[in-house]
Formats: sequence, C-alpha cells, structure tokens
Amino acid sequence: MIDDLVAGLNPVHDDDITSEPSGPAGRELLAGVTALAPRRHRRVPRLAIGAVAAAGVAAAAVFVLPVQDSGPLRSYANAAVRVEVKGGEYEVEVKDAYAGQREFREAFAKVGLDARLSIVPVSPGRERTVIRTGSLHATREGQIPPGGVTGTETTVLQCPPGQAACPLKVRLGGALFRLAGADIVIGRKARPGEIYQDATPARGDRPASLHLTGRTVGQALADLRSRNLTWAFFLGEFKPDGSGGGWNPPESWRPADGRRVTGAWMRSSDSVGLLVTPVKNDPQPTPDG
Amino acid sequence: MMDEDEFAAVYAATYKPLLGYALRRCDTPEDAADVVAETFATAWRRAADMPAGDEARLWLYGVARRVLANHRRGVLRHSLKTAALRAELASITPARDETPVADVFRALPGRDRELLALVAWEGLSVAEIATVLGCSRNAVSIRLHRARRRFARALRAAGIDRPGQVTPALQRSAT
Repeated sequence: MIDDLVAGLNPVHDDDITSEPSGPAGRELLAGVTALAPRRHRRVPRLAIGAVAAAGVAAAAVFVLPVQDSGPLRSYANAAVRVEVKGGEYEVEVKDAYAGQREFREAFAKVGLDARLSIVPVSPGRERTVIRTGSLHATREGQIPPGGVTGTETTVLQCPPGQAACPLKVRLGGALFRLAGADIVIGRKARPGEIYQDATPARGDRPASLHLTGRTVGQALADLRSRNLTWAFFLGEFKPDGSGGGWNPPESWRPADGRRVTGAWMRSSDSVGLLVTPVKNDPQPTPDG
Repeated sequence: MMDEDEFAAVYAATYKPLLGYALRRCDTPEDAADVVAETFATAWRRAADMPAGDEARLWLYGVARRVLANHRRGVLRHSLKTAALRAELASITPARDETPVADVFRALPGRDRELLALVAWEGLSVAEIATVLGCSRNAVSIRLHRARRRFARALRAAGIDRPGQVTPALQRSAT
C-alpha cells in the first residue's frame, strides 16, 4: 500500500514527456555531449598498482582540498539577486523581481543558503509584501539541538514616497533557516491579465464594488460581459470565519444560469473568480484540480 | 571503449527515463534539463565504465543521482548548452502536491524518499536499486523496509491512518 501511495505522488509520468531523443533538443544535446573530449583511461601495468593507488589518494586530496578550503562564498550577486552573509545573517536583495527561480537558487546556493525565493504576481496593494515564509524541508533527526532552533526574518520592502529605485530586501538569521531551508514568497505587481497568486475564494465580494454575490450565475455573467471581464468558476463552500474549501472545475464548465453566486473576487486585472456551492452531478475534485 | 554509435544507442534508449527521473526530482524543468545534460556528459566522459544493455539505464540513474546531489549543493557544472532542451521541457511544470500525504512524504529523510521513489516512480526492483545505489540487495531490502515503515509511522503521526481511503483533499483555489 505504501508503494501505491508513493506512486500516487509521482509529479511527472514518462508519458507526459514529449521530448524525444530524435527531436531537435535530443539531437542537439547528443551532439554537444559527444563533442566533449572523452576521458582517456590509461592502461596500467599490474605491478604498478600500489603506486597508482598512492597517486589516486594524492589526486583525491588535490580534488577535495579546494572544495573544503573555499566553502560557501560570503557574498554573491547575479543579474537577479545579491546575497550577502553578514555575521549569522543572510541579506537577500532582489534586483529583478521578474527573474526566474533558477537565478535566485543559484545565488543562494553560492552562499550555502538552501532557499527558494518566489516573486509572484499579487493583487493591488499587496505588492512588496511577504506573502509567505516557511521552511523548505524538514530537519533531519539529530539536527535539532536541545531547546529547538529559531529563525528571524526582517524585511525591507516598503518604498519611501518619491524614491525612484527602492530596495527589496529580506534578512534571514538563526539556525532554523540553515537547517530547514527558507521558502520565501514575495509579492510583485502583476502584469495585465496575470493571475494574482494571493487571490483565494471566499464568501462575499472582494472588492465590494463587484456586487455579484447573491445574484444568479446568468445575471453575474451578463454583468461581467458588460464590464469586459472574463471569469472562472470555483466550486466550494466557506464559513463566515473564512474556513472551508473547494476545487477548480474544468475551465469549460459553467453552472446553470439560475444558480447563485456566493462569492466573487478579482483573480487578475481582467478576470473575476465566482464561487458557487457544489450540487449533485457537478464536476468532482481531481488530483490536480 | 564505447564508440559514438554505441553511445548514441544507449542515449536513445535512456533519454526519456533520465528526463523523467530528473523532472520528478527537480524544482523546475530548467534544472531537470541541466541535470540530464550533465548526466550524459559524465556518461560520455566515463563511457568506458558504462555497462551494456539495460544495466546502462541503472548506471545512468546512479550518475544522475550524484549529479542531482551536486546540483542541490550548487556545484553543477554547465559544460553544455541546454536551451533547446529547456524549451522542450518548459511545458512540463511538476505541480507541487499540497496534500497531507505529500507533505509527510516530503518530510521524510532524503534517503528514504529516494528509495521509495525508485520503487514507485521508476518501477525498479530491489536488485535494480542495488545496482543504482552500488550496494547489496540485502542492504536495499533492509533500507526499503525501514523507509516504508517510517513513512507509515509518519502518516499515522499526521493523523492519516488509512490514506487509501481518504477522499481527495479539498484544495483552496490555486488560481
């Protein structure tokens, strides 16, 4: 049963991969690989094994020592981010909020910080705020000293009025981030039409000016069309305290015109999410839904 | 010494399994492209050590595992251009599974996760895993048994007693 459970967690099946060894990328990679000089194996006389073994040890030492000596860098910068180790703290300054995850991770790895920084499009007013911070992975057994570990996080995100270029800095300190890694999500201004990563379904209208909650689906869609907005349905139920849940039905699905909208929210600059209470025969949740 | 044609045959047979292996373990398709490229580059440099037949696939998984470990330490070499491969893989973005079972799995020690994944994702037998990891079958059997037991225990500790019976977790909108 455990194996079936793990199989169900498989994020990518081989069938999902359309890249072929005979395709453009496959051929380019093979050409690049075989253009590299292969390592030559020297034929060694049997009697010289002892000497070769000694030479092997020396070679290993030469290989290992620079790695041990160099260690993580104290600071590193690329086009996307600058990371500096100051005392026991890491100071992360984001230079390009639109940069790819890879550039951030590269910089963190250079200074020995196991971190993931995501700069995501968010709803207006939440730009330059920390959407979420947390650990990247669990700590291993025996890593936590008696008394536990702590982490501190300081952000410099606000942009003073009248300043043309504003810093976007996060300082991480404490053993927690060294042992468990850091997962930081910061908001940035969304491009037109880009889905807000902080937009979540809830009861009622957000903003209140939407005036869609309580109206029928037919009325709501007519209103959205007149405002030149698109929509996406969400099937679910939420309590007044905000708890609850639901799922995304297939994009093409729409409920009958007479059903009621129980919540509406801006999910991008030109799209509105519509919450509808699920009923029998509605699409069911799917693993990726 | 393996010649270019022989290497190309191994490459064709193992290209997709290796891509799958890397994509399942990397955060982004770009990272997976780099890991696969470096794995084949290492294989080419060490072609004399590469076994023939299906053993080559297992041997390459072992190489990929070490390349991935280096990548996670930030020491991946970039000896090859991978722009075309990255572009072809760009559409495959492994969705982060936020279910409680996935959270428990992610919290397992990396060695346990890898063993369980080699069985359930790559479909390898104990003997094949022993080849990948370079250890005995007996050692794999024992480690696998312990990994399964630790996962089951962690699931119970998380209140997931009968994960197979759990209905799909309600998800807040990811949009």
